[in-house]
Amino acid sequence: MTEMSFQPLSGVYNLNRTKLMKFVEISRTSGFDAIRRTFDFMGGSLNLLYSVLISIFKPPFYSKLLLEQCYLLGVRSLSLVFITAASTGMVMSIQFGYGLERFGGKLYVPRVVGLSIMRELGPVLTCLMIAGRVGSGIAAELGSMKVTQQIDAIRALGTDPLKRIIIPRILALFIMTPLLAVLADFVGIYGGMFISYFELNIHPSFYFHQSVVALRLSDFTIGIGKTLVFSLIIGVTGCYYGIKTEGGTQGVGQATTHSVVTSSILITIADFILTKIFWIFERGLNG
Amino acid sequence: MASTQPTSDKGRRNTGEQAPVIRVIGLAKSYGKNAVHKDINLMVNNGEILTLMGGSGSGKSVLLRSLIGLEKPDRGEIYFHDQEITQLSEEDLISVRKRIAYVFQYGALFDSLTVMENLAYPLIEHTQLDEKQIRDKVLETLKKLNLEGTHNLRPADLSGGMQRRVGVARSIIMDPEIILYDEPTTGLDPYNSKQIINIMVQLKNSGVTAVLVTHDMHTIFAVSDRIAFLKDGVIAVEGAAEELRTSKNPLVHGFIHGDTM
Repeated sequence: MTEMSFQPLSGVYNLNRTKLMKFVEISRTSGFDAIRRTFDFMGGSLNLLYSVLISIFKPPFYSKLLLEQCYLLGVRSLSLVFITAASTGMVMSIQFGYGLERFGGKLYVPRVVGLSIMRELGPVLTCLMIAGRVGSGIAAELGSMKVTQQIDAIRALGTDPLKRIIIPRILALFIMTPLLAVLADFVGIYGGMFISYFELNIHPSFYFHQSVVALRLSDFTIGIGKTLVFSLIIGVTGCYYGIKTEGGTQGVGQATTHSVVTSSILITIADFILTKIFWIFERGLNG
Repeated sequence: MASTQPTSDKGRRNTGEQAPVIRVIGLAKSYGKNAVHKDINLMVNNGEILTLMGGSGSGKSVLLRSLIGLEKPDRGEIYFHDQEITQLSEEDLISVRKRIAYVFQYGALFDSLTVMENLAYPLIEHTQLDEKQIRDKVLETLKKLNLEGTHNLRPADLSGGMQRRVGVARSIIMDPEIILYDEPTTGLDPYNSKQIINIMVQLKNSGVTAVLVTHDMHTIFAVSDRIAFLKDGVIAVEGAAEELRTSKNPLVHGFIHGDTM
């Protein structure tokens, strides 16, 4: 009787133990796999960045391809950046306007919105949008070229894929992203000004004056300085996942997803680090 | 088989001599635990078409890619004339790749460029020809391959057979010394296969050396001078095409007649 009642329990225990072991094994392998992929990405992307920096000043130079990429990656992102920045400025004005009104601080809206957009939201949101639109596009395009052997064809025809397809894209992003961020800054502030006039009854001349008084050149340059780092993150990540694509169309999809997720995470982490560094630097300068 | 001493360049095109233009010595290549090549020794003579034959996964395409430096072997040497190429950097390989053309299985045409731009690509990169000369050369090459009127089309607008022929056209536009064909007729209808075979024969008659990878027996025996059979990471059998066609070797006989891998 004791044995009979024990056996099913033992079976359940064994079953659970097997499941547990399987779970542990899957967790272990997927955990190791994730760590391995992270290190692969870190090593591979730094290596790619190093190769780009080494090759960028050596001929041949593909200026026509660079201009083409500036148009495709930068100019064609204008509407996206415009809408994002305008919406952000307007939303912030409404939120801060009604929030600060309760404490009698409605008139501080121009200063708060201006500072937030110049230092933080303009550059970061612009780069997150570019990571979504451009980074994914780069990964998908290069991934498709990889799986259809077009990158091999570039090599077989005696040309360097690094110079022909990677450097023009990374350089175009490096040039165009700060310009887009400048646009985002101004559109964001004007968006805030627009909504403040209609919703909060703050006159545009007052809004503009307050923004100019509150903002320093360093607020602008720090924001734009961040975009230089973010543009490298987007370009290198997109190119890395693109040229590492394997496994046909499914691989292209994965490369695109990895590119957007990784560059978005890296942008937010880099933003924190850069913000901290710039504050320390600014405090040091101001005594 | 092949001697380990490099030989001198016997000229760009077939001089009637059976001088080796490519020599592979002791080549080994593994992907993880899978040893694709264990000890490949091979020689490609001037002006001949050598076919690499073997089952799927036997490493034919990897060997072909190694010949132009698209794959780096783990061990062994590959001589293009007297130049050892396995240790060359990507930059140094450019001079080799200008002289060896590679025809990809599905053409590998640049889909963002037109046929004209695809063919003009190597000319723009490696020659000093002006725009008109490049255009004339492209149109002349397209005419040779019965592709007139396609120069403004994009690869997506072409049939599979035409894409392959454009791929061949792009490969031969620089007048290469050697052409490496990676399954050029696979998946094509008989008409397009015949077109590709005719092009290969024409190029052979004009003295271009070639290495061919294919499973298509008709193509093999229509164009090959010699055949090398890959099995278990080595060249298991090598000989003249006619010899292998009538070979009693169970491996070759079985493969040709579809009895074994």
